Amino acid sequence: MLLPWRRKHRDANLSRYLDGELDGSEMDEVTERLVLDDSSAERLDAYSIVSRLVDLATGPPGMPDSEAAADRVLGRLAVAPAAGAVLSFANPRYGRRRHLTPALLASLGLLLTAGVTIVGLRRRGIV
Amino acid sequence: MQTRRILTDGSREREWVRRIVGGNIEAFRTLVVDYHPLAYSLAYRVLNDAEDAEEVVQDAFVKIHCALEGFRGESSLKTWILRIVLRLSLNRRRDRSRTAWRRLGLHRGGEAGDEDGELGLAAPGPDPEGLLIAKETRSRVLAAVESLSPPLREVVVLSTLEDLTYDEIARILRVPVGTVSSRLHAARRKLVDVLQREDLI
Repeated sequence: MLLPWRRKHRDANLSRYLDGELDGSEMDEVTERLVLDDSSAERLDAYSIVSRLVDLATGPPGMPDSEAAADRVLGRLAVAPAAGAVLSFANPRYGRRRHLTPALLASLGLLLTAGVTIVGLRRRGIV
Repeated sequence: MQTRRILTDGSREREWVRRIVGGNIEAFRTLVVDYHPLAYSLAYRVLNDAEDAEEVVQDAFVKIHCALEGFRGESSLKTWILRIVLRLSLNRRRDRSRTAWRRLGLHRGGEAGDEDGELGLAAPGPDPEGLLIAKETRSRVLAAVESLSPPLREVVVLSTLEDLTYDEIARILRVPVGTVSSRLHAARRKLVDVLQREDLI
């Protein structure tokens, strides 16, 4: 009689066997067991049926056209696909786009303001 | 649902990313076309809504485009992309006023192949797994998945995506492989119990 944890381990191996994840001695052990033990074979059948039912129930009824999907993705990226084209839609340096962030703009504005203020004060002889 | 198998290796991915970051539009377009089916499949499985799934996938690829410069290649492009899609999908799901699962039955009346109340997920014929799954069965299975805790539900959803290994799922979720294995097993055990009680299996 198998201890519960041992039975659970053997049962888990049936699941792995179903998915082709066993090899070597574990594969041999399960293959032999399936021949000799009807309950193991029934258990494997149940797992197989469940897997198939889940696959059928959850799977999409149809598949959208992948080419059209690719066109839509490229459209969202604002790139017109052209056969053989090598378009650089990003900075040539590995696609990194540089742009002025609000923080950077604010800093430049402050520097400009400070510069103008200093120039004005110097003209008046204050600085 | 068959999703295209994307065969890549590390060096090809790095070259691909380098070209995209360098401004090559066609390279990025190829990436979108290649990964769109897998990304959409994942988004749909989380959101259970075609429109939401497509929007999330669009958002994801725009985000991916901006983030590619920072892609270090520590994980594969596939797991990196799916991690972004999963995160955005979960965010969308959380933000919706009604959950995707509760909209079942109210939203899916117009789906193709639904005239007889059956959702034809595969044409019956020589394929032994070409099953028709009844609308009600689908609702109950989805309700069972919904009853799982979020960590178990995420693993179950990812496990339904084709060609995802435990290792890839672990990288997407940023958990150990053992955790993926134990969560998936726990989820299946719970689902078996629930669906057996409902006489579905």
